[in-house]
Amino acid sequence: MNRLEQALAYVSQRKSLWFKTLLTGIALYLLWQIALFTLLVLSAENRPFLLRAVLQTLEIILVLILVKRIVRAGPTAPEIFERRYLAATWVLFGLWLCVMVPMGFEIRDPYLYGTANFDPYQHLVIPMITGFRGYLFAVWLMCGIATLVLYGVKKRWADVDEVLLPLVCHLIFTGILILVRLGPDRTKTAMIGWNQAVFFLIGAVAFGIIISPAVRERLMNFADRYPYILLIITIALIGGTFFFGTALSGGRKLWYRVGPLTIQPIEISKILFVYVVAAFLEKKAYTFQKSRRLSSLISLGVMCLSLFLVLLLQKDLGPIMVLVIVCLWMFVSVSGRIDLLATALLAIGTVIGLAFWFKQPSMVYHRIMDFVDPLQYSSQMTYALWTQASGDLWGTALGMSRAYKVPVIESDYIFTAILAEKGWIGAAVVLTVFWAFSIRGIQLARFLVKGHSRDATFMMGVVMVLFVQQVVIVAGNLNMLPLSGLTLPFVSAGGSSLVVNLGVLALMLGLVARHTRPAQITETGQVKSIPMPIAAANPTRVEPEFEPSVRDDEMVLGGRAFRAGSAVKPGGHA
Amino acid sequence: MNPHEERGELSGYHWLIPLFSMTGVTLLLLAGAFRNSVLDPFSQNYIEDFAHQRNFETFVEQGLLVDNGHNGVKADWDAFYRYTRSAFKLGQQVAAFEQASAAGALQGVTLKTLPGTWQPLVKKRLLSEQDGQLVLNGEAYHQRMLKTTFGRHFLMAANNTHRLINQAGRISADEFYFRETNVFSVTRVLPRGAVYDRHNQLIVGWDKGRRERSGLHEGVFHVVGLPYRSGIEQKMEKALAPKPHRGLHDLAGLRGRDRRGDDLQLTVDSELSAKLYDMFDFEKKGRLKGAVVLMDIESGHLLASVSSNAPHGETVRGNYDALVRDRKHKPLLNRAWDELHFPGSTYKTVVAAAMLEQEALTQPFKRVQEKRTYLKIRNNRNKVRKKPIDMRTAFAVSSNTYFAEKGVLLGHHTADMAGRLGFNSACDLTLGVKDAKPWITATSSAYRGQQQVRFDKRGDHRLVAQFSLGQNQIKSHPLHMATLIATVANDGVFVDPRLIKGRRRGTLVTETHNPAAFSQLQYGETRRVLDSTTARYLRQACRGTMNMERGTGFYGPQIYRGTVDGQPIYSSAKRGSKAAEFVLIPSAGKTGTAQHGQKGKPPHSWFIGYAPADNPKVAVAVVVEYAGYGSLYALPIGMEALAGGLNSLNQEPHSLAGETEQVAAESSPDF
Repeated sequence: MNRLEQALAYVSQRKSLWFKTLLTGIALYLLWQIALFTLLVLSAENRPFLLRAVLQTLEIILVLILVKRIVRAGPTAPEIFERRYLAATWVLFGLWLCVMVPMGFEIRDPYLYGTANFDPYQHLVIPMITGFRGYLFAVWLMCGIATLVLYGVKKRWADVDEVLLPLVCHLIFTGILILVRLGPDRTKTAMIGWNQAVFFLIGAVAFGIIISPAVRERLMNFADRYPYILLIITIALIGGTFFFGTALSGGRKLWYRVGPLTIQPIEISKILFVYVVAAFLEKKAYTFQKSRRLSSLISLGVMCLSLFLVLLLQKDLGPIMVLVIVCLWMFVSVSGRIDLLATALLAIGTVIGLAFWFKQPSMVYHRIMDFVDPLQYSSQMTYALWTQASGDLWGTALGMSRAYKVPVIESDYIFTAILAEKGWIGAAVVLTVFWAFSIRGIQLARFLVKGHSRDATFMMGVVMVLFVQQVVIVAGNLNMLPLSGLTLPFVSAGGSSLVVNLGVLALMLGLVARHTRPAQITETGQVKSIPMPIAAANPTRVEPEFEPSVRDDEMVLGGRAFRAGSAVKPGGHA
Repeated sequence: MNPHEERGELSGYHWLIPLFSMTGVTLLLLAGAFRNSVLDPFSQNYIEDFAHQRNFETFVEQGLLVDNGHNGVKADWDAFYRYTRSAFKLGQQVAAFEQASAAGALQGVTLKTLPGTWQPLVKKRLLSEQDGQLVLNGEAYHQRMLKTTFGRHFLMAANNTHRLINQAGRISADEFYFRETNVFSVTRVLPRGAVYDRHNQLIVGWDKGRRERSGLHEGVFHVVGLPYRSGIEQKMEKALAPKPHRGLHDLAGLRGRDRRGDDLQLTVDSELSAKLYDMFDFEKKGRLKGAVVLMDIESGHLLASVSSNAPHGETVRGNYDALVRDRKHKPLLNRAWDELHFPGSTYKTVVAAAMLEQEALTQPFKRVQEKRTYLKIRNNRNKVRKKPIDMRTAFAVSSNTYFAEKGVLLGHHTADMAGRLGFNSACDLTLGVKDAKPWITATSSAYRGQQQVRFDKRGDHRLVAQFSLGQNQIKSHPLHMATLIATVANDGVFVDPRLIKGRRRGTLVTETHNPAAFSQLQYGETRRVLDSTTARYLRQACRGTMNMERGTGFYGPQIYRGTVDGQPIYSSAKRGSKAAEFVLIPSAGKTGTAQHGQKGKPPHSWFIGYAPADNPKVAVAVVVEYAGYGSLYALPIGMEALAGGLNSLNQEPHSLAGETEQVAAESSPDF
């Protein structure tokens, strides 16, 4: 028996009155402290903060469950899982929106409360809304409808994956939640939030259109046949802004104005360009891998540079950064040529270095200096850093931060707002969601590679575009990279961005659905694919007019993606 | 040939590459977000620019917003324009123009013949000519005023008067400002701790989200300093800085967890410092540069450390660059311990101490005839006295010839003594203070010049003689000289100087009163550097300076003790100028007149001393640059400081705000 045990035995054997009194005293003191803490927690001024902590915790749990589903699917059937977690995300969003936001406003702005004035925004009148609560409720309902639409069309036409949709909805809801209440002038940002909700609905419809087999197949076949027309469209869209563009901010003409809407063509061009590059790479994969001939490399370089040059003339550096990274990634993953990667990185580094040294274009210099010493060079970044610091671990509760003081908080700096209002925990949830989304995307790409490597490369490119864009803008916000004007996908304000990103999601799901066939589960739990024409097997699918580019006997379902229970619905249409 | 079939297959594991890289990048981003939000690396740079907030306060203070009769306010535009006519330059000019034209002074003057003083009005197109008359365009002036920040804010307030009333029904400019204006301010500008003087008078506090510096007058400026830049504010950053992270509250993310930084109680006496700062204005010579350091002998507390030419704390905001660039006055230079001067005759204290230790060699108590040997050294204008003198007399009359000779006799012994008395080593004012950064003073130097001194070499004897008078290679600063004379007064025991007396926990942000009392910090470390006997003889010598008929300080001001309400009050006055009920308190010390070798400028004036001579309580060192004789310039300041220091030690501290409510204020035990 060692010393400690001896001491414990001695203590437990003592039965004197003094000893009991001492123990009772300690216990009473602890109880008293607990009671104090409980009272403090329940006091009125702490209520919003308590609620915030509860909601954040629920959010964490929800996201962790989704992540777990990606790693290994549980016994829950995919459609039940998807339905359940879409609903949970939406309900949680409702709690944030309809309970938490008014609470924050009551504290921050008791005088304005309840008298929203939408007069300056006559072009999108909300007639039924009488007060701010009503407005929030309407936003919530509208998001619910959009989510329903998303879920419905996906279930009907591309029933392949059960986590992407809840993840994306989580992101969109977070964005709307932040946007709805960002402004110093509530009316203005309330309108930004409202617009975002409206575009969510529009995006859901666009999602439905793109994911429908008729459109999807036509699109893919068109792209198959005329990849270079896509390239021309891409460059023309960007180049057109020189002539028809509108400058919304910063004096750069990066938008098209169509009636009340403004569209940023780069959002669409990015995806088209990635497709073109993917197609080209796959076509020349053999050349890249096995031969030292330069001609293909040169044509690839010319293709990339033609777009980058136009973007450079536009002084739109963010997309260049994203596209360069994504193209390099795709190139290396197709060709496996590390030597060329190193050469390219060296060249890029030299170009950036020269641009910095000669201050030409001056934007490079300024962005880099803003990054190196934000407090000296960039008031915007300074404000952003201060705002982020006000967030701390749990964030100021919603509506309590001064994020609205940061210029363009609603698009470029939305991550700053999240960090300020939901704290590091909320930001970590958002980052985790992006991570999960990308991981899932890579899983799907891996699944596709067995069927059709061009589609797989494209899929990977698309996922990488979203991921890299998110990384670049978040790192820019955090002053870990020079900031460049990009939107945080699905989160930032911006109708065109949201709609296009939803379209991209539709394309991703459509690509997978295109190469998936219903499966059968045998009694031993083994899955067999049914060697039948796709249309006959799946009555919900529309017969494509063109023959799919994949031959049936090539189809082998990917091991991992399949085990995740995502690609194939067990017990499908037998 | 189908390229798809020919292409090489990569290993199945290459799919791990994107997974790992994405995970890695996401983890990096998480770490970055953690750094920016929780660790908060830029917290030191939060702006405190609340100048605009002052506009709203002005509206309320100046009565530009008035009661509208039914529980609200309204903007008084007349009052606004009236106010702009007195507060802004343009407005003043407009008012002057109106006055002049009303008085008929501008009769018959056209735009072309208008005097140049009115040209700004013409340039801003406020004046026009109609029928040969100059007409002021009032509307244009009003428009112009509305375009200033002040005007814009007033317009904003006028259009939103209902929001200026807070829930308690009062006009609240602050809340309005924070809600409505576009000036950025962070939610987390947390309060720093306050700094009090030894009698609990507030020097710097925290008010309305910014440092309150009205108490940071010139006398204490260099001690307290500016946050992150200088002084206590910099050295005690860790104690004064707000403490945002505390236990359970923080984990739960609750409000009200933010805590003020700790409050500090300094050893300096704010009132006395202000008085001493003003002492550097001399009747004949005007304002002179210099410094005083006053020290409590027993504890080592600095009762005052004043450097002339310091700025007032309230004027520093927005003016800092100009202060840095002011090469002429160097207002940010703390002359008390960051600038070195030749100590001149005050250095004879060191020589005398060395003589007393080497009694057999130098025979200090034997009266000797002064010799001519080293008379021709530079800086020596003394003539040889006819009567033989001993060390104490020579010290009192400050005989250069005597000490030059003895210094040469002593040789390297003086250097050893100088080292023991703190030359050639810097002093750390915050040694052993919890949470403090080291506060290192300038290093006073002796025998450390470019030229190597050979004490035994005959050729170098003139140099050594010069050193013995505190010239050439000997340099020191008032703080060091104060510790030196305090050591002598304290029976040869050196006490580390201290600036911080007490410290207490800060309150929560929401609370206004801090009921805690200051817990007292320990005194500085002590060490014996002189023999008790040596110190006693030195004290006799020092006493002679002020009290012997021939002593250099005899005809200077002396300290007198009077009585008010049974309390002793000390003051300094010329010998014999006080009434009979005032008792002369003998003081002691050494004056110095340090020549610096710059032509055409009077020498630096020095005084080091202590009082009372019999029972030393406070010690002082004064330097006045380019003034003249030590007894004429430094001595009056030194005597004033000594008298003030004696008063200060007797004075009861003020009660702190809120302390009366709390009967038994507990001191926090961990400091």
